[in-house]
Order: sequence, then C-alpha cells, then structure tokens
Amino acid sequence: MTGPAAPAATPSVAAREITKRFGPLVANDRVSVAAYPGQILAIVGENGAGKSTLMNVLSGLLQPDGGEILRDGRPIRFHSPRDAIRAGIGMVHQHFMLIPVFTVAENVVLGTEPVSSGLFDKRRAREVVRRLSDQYGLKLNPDDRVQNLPVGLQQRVEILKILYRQSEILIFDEPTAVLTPQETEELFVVLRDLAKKGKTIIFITHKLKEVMAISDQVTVLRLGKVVANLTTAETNPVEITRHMIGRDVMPSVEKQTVGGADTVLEVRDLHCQSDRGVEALRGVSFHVDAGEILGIAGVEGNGQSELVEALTGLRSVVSGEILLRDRKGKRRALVHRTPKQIRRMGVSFIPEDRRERGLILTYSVADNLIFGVEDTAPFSRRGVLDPGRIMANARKLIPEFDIRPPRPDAPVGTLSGGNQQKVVLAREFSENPSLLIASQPTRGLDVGAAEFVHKGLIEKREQGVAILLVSAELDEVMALADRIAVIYEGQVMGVFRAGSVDEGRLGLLMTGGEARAEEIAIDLTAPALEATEGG
Amino acid sequence: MIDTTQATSPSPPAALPEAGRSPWYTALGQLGVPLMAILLALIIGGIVMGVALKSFTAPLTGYWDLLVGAFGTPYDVEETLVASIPLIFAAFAVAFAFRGGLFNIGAEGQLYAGAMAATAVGITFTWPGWVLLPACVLAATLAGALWAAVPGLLKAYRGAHEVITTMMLNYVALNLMHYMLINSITGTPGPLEGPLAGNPVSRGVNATFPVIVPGWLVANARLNAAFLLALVCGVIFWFILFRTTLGYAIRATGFNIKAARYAGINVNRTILLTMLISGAFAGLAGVSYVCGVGGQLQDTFDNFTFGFDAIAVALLGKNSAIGAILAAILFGALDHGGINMQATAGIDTHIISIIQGLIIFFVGAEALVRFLSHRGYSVMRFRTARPEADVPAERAAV
Amino acid sequence: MIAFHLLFLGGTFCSAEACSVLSNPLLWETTLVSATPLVLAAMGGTISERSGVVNIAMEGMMLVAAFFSAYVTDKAASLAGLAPWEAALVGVVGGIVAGCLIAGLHAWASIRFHANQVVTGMAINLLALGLTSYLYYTLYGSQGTPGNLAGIPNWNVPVLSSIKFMSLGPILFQENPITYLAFLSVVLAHIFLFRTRIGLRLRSVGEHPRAADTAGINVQRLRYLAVTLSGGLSGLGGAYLALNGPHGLFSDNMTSGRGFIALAAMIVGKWTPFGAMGACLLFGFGQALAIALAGQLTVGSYQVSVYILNMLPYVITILAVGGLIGRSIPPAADGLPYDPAESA
Repeated sequence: MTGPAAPAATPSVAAREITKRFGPLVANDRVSVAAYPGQILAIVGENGAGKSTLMNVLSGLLQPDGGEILRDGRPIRFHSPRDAIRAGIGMVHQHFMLIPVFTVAENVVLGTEPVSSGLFDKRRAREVVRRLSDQYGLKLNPDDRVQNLPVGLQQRVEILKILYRQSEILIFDEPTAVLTPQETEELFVVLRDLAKKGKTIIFITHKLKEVMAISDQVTVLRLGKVVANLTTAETNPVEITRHMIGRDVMPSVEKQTVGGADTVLEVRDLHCQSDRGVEALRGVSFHVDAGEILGIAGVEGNGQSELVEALTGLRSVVSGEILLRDRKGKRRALVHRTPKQIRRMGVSFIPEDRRERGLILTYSVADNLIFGVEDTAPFSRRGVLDPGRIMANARKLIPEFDIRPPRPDAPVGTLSGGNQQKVVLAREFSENPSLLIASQPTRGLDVGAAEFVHKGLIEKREQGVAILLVSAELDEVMALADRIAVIYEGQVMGVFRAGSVDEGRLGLLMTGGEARAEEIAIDLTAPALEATEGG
Repeated sequence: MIDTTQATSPSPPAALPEAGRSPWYTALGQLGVPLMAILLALIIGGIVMGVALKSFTAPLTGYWDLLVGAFGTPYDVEETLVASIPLIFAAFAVAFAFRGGLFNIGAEGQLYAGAMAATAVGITFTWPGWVLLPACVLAATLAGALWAAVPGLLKAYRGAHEVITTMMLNYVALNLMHYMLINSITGTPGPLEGPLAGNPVSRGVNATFPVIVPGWLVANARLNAAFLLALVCGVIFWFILFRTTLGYAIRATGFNIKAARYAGINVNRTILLTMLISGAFAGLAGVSYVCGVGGQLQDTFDNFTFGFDAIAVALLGKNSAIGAILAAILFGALDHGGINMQATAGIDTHIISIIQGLIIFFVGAEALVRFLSHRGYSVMRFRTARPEADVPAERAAV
Repeated sequence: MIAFHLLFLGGTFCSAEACSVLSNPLLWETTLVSATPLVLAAMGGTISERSGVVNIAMEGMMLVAAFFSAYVTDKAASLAGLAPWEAALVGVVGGIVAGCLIAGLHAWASIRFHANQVVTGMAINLLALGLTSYLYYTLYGSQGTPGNLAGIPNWNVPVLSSIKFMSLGPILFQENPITYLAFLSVVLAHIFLFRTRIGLRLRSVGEHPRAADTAGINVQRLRYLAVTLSGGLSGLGGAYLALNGPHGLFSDNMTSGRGFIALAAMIVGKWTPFGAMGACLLFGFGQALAIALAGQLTVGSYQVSVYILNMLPYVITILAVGGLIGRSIPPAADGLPYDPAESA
C-alpha cells in the first residue's frame, strides 16, 4: 500500500473499512477513503472495481454491511439519501437523476421545495434556480423541460441540484462519460471553481487523462479493495494503470497491412432520422475495403447509432445508398432490406450493449450461438429446430473462443461480461461475413477481455473481412483502424489514414471545432461500387 | 448490525434471476412458492370461514368435505377433471402469452368469442358429429384467435398495452354475449337465443365431445374427449415453444425485445402470432365447454371466471404445459369439491373464489410468500424471523 | 368526443321520440348518478398510478366498500341503535375504511414485496367478489340486506336547487351529497397533484423513483399514501353505490364492472383529474343514454341493443390506448416496483 500524502486537517468525509456485499459478490471489501475540503479526490478503477457501490454507500442509497462513514471526523449513519443530503453530501450520478417531464426548476428544488400558504411555490423555485444558475455561471433557464435539454446542460441541472441543497461534498460519478471534450473542459472549470470555494469534490472515473488534469489526490480500487492512495502531483498514468489492472499494460496490438483490396461497403449520401424525428444522418458517405478496419470516431450521440442501425436494416433510410459486395462478389443494395436479409448477405454485427441487444440472457450458450440464424439450415428445417445440430455447433465454438464455463447449456446471463462478449463474437465470426460491423465492442470489458476482442478483430481483418468499427474510445479507434472517419452531428467531418492525424485534430473535428476536413474530397474518389440490382 | 427496517432492502442484484442462488432457493422458487401460495390461501380461507361461522372446527370439516368432494369417489375424480378442462385451455392461453412477454388477461373474452362461434356453428348446421364437432372446434379456435388479434395488432403496430386492451375486450365480449342471448325489451330475441323466452341460453349444439369414461367404471360420467384435446394441446404448446423457430423467436421477443429485433427477428409479427396462438387456446376453452358439459351457450357464463382463474393457473404452473395442467386440476378440484362442501358442511361455495383469489394474489407476490413462509416457519420453531429473508428482486414472468 | 359523434351519427337515424330523450332532465340526472362512482374511483386510480403503482383493483375496492358500508350501516342501526342518518354516515366511513384496507393490501404486496401489480390487482378483484359474495350469502342469505337499511338521501342545495333555467336546479343541485363530494374530489385531486409539494413529489416518484429517492424523497411512503388514497376514494364510490338514496342496499357483484370503466376513464383522461372526470361524464352519459334509449334506438329497421351501447366505453378506451384518438401515455415508472438496492 502506498502511504497517503494527505494534508493534516480532518477529512470532511471519510469511509472507514466499508464492506458491501451483493449475495456472494463482495463489491466493497473494507474500503477506506478520505476527502478533504478544497480538494479534488479522484477515485479510479476498472469496471466492477466497486467505485459506484462505494459512492452509493456515501450518498446513502445503499447501506454498508460493515464499516462506517465519518463526516468531519464524526461517525454518521445514512438510512436513505435524505440523511446524506442533510449531512451535506450531494451526488451527480452517472445516469442522471432527473425527471424528464419536469422543468429545470422543479427538478432542482424537488425534495426541498419552497412552499407558500400550503402550496408549492413555483415562482420562488424559479427565482432561486435562476439566482444560483447565475452565481455559478451555469446558464440554465428554470422553465425549460429537462427532456429537451442537451446532455451537458442536464448535467448542470444535476450540479445545481446539489448546490441548491448547500452540499459541502460533491460526488461526481463518471461525469465525463457523456460529454464532449469541450463540455468536459467546461465542467472542469466549474469543478475547480467549486473546490476553490472550499467544497470537497470526489470524482470517479476510469480515464487517467482526467485524473491527471483535475485531481489533487487519487485512490485506486481494484476488485472491491483499495490498492493505492496517491498524490496526483507525485504519480503518473503508468503507475496508476499498474495499480488499476494489477500488471503492466500490453503494448498495442500488432497488425500487418493488407493491400490491394476491393471495396466491400459503400455508403453514399445517407440521410436518416432519429427516433425523435430529427435528422440524425445528414449526407454520410464513406467506404470500407476488404481487409481493412474503418474506425468511426465521434462523441456519442452524433449519429453513430443511427448509422449502424441503418446499415443493419434496423432503421429506415430517408435517402442515399448503401451498397455491399456480398460473399459471392455480387453487388447488392442494402437500403430497404430487413435485418435478416442483410445478415444473409454476409453482414455480421456486434451490437453495443451486448446484454441489451446481443444476447438473450435466459437462453443457453448454445441457443445464443444460433441467435439470428436459428431459422436457417442446419439449425432448423421447415421451422422445426434441430437440438442436435445446435448442440454440436456450441461444442465446436466454445473451445474455439475459450468461452467459460465451457457448458453449452449454461444460461448466458450467468457468464461474465467478457465471456458474454465471446459468445457474441463466436456467433458473428462463425457466420463467415464479408462485412463486420462492431459497435462499441469493448465497452464495459476488463483489459484482458478487451484484448481478446481486439485480437479477434485484427484476425478477421487479416482474413480479408471489411470491418466497420464504431467506438467512443478514441484510443481504441486509433489503435485498431486503418482509416478513421470522424462523425459529428450526423456528418462525416473527414476520413484519415491512421498515423496521418493526431488526437488533438481528431478531438477538434469530433466536437465541430474545425470545419470539414479537406481529406474527405480525396477519399470520395476511391473506387466505387455499382449497384447491379434494384433496391 | 442488521435491524428490521432493512427488511425492505433486498440484497441480490436484479439482473440475473437465477445466478448466485443456492440450490435451496432455486428449489423453493420452482415448487415451494406455488405450494406455499396454495397453503397460505387455504389457511386464510379457513380463517375467513371460521370467523364468519364463529366456529373453530368449521374450516377443518369444510376442507375435509372439500377433499372428499373432489376426490372421494371415481365420479368425483372424473368431475374434478371435467371442471379443469376449460381452465387447462385458458391457462395455456395465458402461459403462452407470458412466454412471449405478453400479459393476456383477455383469455376470458377470447373464451366467450370461441364459445359464441362454436355455438353459432353448432346450432346452425346439422352435419354428422364427426364433421360438425371439428367444425365447431375450428370456429372457436379462429374466433379466439381473431378476438386476440385486436390487442395483438394494437400492441405490435401501435404499442398499445395489451393489459388494457384485452381487459376492455373482455367487457366488449361479455356485452356481445348478453346481446346474443338476451332478448331486448321489445321482445326481439338475441341472435343466438333459444326458443324459451326470458331464458338466456342458446339452443343445444348438434355436436358434443364424446364421453371417454366407460359406463361400467363411472355411471353418468361426463369426462369427454375435450380433456384429451387439452392434453394434445399441451404437447403442441411445448412443441411450438421449444422445438420451432417460431417458439425460439417468441421466447426471445418475450425476454428481450430489443435483442430480438437486433437479431433480425420480426418482432411485430412475432407479437401478433403470440397473441393469435394464445387467443386460439382461449377459444378452445370456449368450445370445450359449449360442446362439452355445457351443451349450449349460457349467459350465466359470466359467473364463471375461467379466464381470470387461468392467470393463477398459468402462474402457479410456472407457465409450463405440465404445470398448467396440474394447477388447473387443482382449481377443478376446488370448484367441484366446493359443491360438496356447501352441501355437507353448509359453507357457501363462494369461499372457493376467495381461496382462488388469494392464490392469484400470492403467486403475484412471490416475495410475500417467501416472507410469510419464513415468518411462519420461524414462529413454529420459536425463533425470531431473520428479517432480511430473501426478498428477491426477481419479478414475476412479465 | 368520438362517442358523442357516434351517438349523434346514430341520432340521425333515430326516431323523433328517441331524440326528445336528450331534452329530458332525467337523462342528465342519470348521467350524474352513473358518473359519481366512476369519478371517485377514477380519481383514486389517477393518484395511485401517478405515484407509479398500477391500480386495476378499483373494482374490488369499490365492491368491498359497498358491502361493508351496507353492513356497517346495518349493524350501526341494529346493534348501536343509531338514527338512520347517523348509521348511514358511519356506514360511509366504514366503506372508506374497507376500501383503504383492501388498497393497503395491494400497496403492501406491490411496494414492499415488489409484486406484479397487475396480477395482485386482478387477484384483489376476484378476492373482493368472492369475499363479498361469501359474506353476503353467509350473513344475509337469500333475503338480501334489510329493506329498511338507511341510506344517504339527496340533498337540495339551498337557492340553487330551484333554478328553473334549463332545469339546471333539479339536474345539478338536487343531487346526492356524495355526488358533490365526487366533483369536489376532482378539484382537490388536481390541486393536490399539480399545486402542492407532496403532489410534485408524488409525480416524481411515478416518473423516476430513483431520482426522487436521491433527492431525499421517501418513495415507499408516498406510494403507500397514494394507493391508500385511491382505496379511500374508490371506497367512497362503493359506499355511494350501496347507500345512495333514501334506502341502502347491497346486491351480489353490485359494481358490475364500474371499476373497469373508471380505469378506462383514467386512461382516456390521460391520467389527469379533469380529463378522467370528462371521460367519466362521457361514459356516464353513455350509460344514461343506454337506459333512456332502451329499445328505442333504431338504425334503419334494426334495433340497437343496450348491450351494444354498453360496449362504447370499452371501445373508446381501446381506441385511446391504440393512439387512434390522441395518445395516452402513462407515467414513466407506472407498474415498476422500486428497489433502492438495485444498481441503476
């Protein structure tokens, strides 16, 4: 354990030996942390390290099974968030705790509403919110409905909520996950300002860049335990990473170049609407060659989901063309096809959020391995399933992809996240695709599992599969892709060869900080596919 | 450390219902909860009896008479099975929809639709029985499916919640049946009304299911081929769900509609088909009565609550075919045995509705059953109840 | 609105004497009588569902309340020897308490034990039917409740009841006190939900319970409050069914689906008090019209059965949830149990 280099003062809030169990899982194992007024404490750790559990304990949402919380050195017990709020602890949750149909003012005062003559005093709520918003430069209109606000502003409503409650300790749970780099910068300005005013800030993240940029102290969690307490000024990202994953990071994946390839997918001037009827894709054009990985970089919510859904037949296309060269080399139009037809043409798809979209958690591994092809030979004939073939398929794929536990009949929901993703990969890879669409394929995976996924993608690329990789992790895109397309507000801002562009430039393009790049014009001259059949 | 106020804070994470449970919990979940639900319902029903009749022994004699009435003689066993027939079909309807993620509380209305269609065919034509009976069955199946098609279509293509639409259609069907069977004030008979004015029943149908119990075994037996049809339907139920691609799609859609859509399953079509098949089962419940022991359509039908009891039966049976059959026989036993209980012990048969209602209540609130059984167990052992006793985050099938 | 349209469409075919029905004050009075229990139960349902607890058990709550209001009135008169109006008043309270108790059962199962609210709601309806039938036949046998059972008679509002203009006085101001309470409850429910602090919190609980919890709001307690309130309101509706008029009466299954019509009204009214009230009046009008037109409404030579007219509320509701006449969207967390320990 690294000794804490903390100031001598009493921590404004501290956890002492906190233990929290969920059934057999110990989410927090005698965890101790301390945060001091005027300072920013970063708590880092991989997914599942127990960060969120700890914060839920500190904010009164969960009661610990052991240990205690100290507020200004005095032990205190929270039975509910109400108690934590009363003790001056406020939390900005990763998933915003806002009522979408309520106004900003209603959301802010909820739980501590101003009252006049027995009724809710809407006018005073509005005034208070306007005043606070001005005081901290948050620029919010109290009468806006929260559901109509962009994410960055919704987060400010959250901050306003805890400021309104006069919290001294502000906990931020992965606050930048949904923000653009610019919004993140603005948030950091607000955070520094709050710390200067004497507030205690606890900042949970797994992004080391942010830890280095904003924090004074760092506490590292791994597998539910505190493994290090560090002073930011005296440490570096490599050291923190070593604590986080318990070993050194692997060097980035090796890849060979595959040359002289044909275009497999071509998208021309694609227009699509979002669920809310807003134009989500505004004339997107790009192509993917056989044996290359095209990475789509962008802040989430700029049309990536709509693009992937349009390509896989899940979203209707307003205008534009999508052309695919299928396994037999035939060129086919994908617009107005059903997901099933597109799949049969040789398009495999690793969806983001495997638990929600890629798997049926109650189905066995074997049944999940035929999910999407269950109605094709050899797994079924004339609508009747063939359990023998389904089992045989599982017995073949399970060792091949090292799925654990190696039981075809285990419900997929009982597998770990990494093994669940292996089930998805096994299924999608085994369909021998000509195009593979991978959407956020490593989200929520630990480092080992992510490496497995990356290796798998590289392997497929070397076999000549065209791969479209959509990822919000810029590092992942830069490590894997041969070319990188930047998407911003439904438009491709530029397409670049990997290595020909740095992170700063991509960041600017991702946030609309720079107009569309020149390179796109060059890129569009690439060999095009011709549709040989009617849509 | 842990005080009683924390009993409301169940601990296991909700995402994985089966993961991380000890085998004891799993066993309790599979069989224990339904059995405990029945037991608790019987205990509370007994308390109601005892209080209303101001007698400690009344519940005991009542339940004894109930048991004897249900299974005492071969005739009673046979009548218990007779009473279970429509319930089996209706429970298949509810369970099938549950598997597809749909809560069909409209089995009642679909049953009426099937019954009306079977009656219309059965009293209109005079074909020989081996033609007419299948025709009645077919008509009922189609009518039930069509009645369920409305909520199916509205759910699939308009997103309308099936609980509301099927519930409302129950009342539409009920009024339609009144209309069919009750003459208007000016004396025009209802379209299906029989010749006896003021008697809200149809003429007898011209084809009925043959009795399958030989006379030398049970005199005046009424158990008919509809029971066999129910067993066949159980096999069909299982086969569709677990051996066909449609069933694969139905269960996938039921568990996670988003994933089903991503895998290329046509979920709208699947939802509609689920409702159609569910409604078909409910329609069969209708014909099993009209062409079974009913022999005609009766407006008193609305005193029966097959469609609602079927919810309990399906849930008690864990939405499986075999479970539904067993639970339906239990309800049949309660219904038939209740007659004896009233005749012998003088306890009003409505106590059976109370018990059945309680069973539904308890299967809907599984966690409550676990809590109460644990309390009861602890009290019997003179121990204090462990307060955090397994209140699960697991939800019922929907 | 659609229903009026349909009815007037029907009206173009109907005979002259049938059309004169519309100018008969009795029709409008019957509308209010039919609407009263619907309005009360619909207010209950609206408050419960606004807090996120699905309540399809208004039928059962009303039925149990109807029985116990009659039973308590009976016993209050025969055992305690109260005067008729006192007995009836005690009976009304008894009905409300019975409604609250049954609702408490639903709340307990739904909130504490995360029960499937549709299943337990359905179970309560069946349970209520069984319980009231059982107690009714066991306690009263085939003679039914006593013929001299006290009731809550209509009350003429001073001055207003004698308004002659368009017979407004007799229609609006010679009604049962519970009818006035029903319409007062609409105004109160609106103020409660949209103008008070508890109302704001209650709605937040129905939209996003975790957000409310993190704001320090006691989700469970508010849901208990809302469901119990819904039981009390439905209970008053049930008491009205049993005790309205000079003499009270309970009969087997006397609610006969009114709780479901109230549920329908709540949905068609889009979970707002005034919307639900409008739907209740519409459905009440439909019922009144069905009674008034019995055997009179003809389309061509075809006589329209009352039973066909009775289907209207249900059909309108199906159209409403199908989005065919303005979409009805429930509160976001309606029917979802809230478990504070569940990770978000």
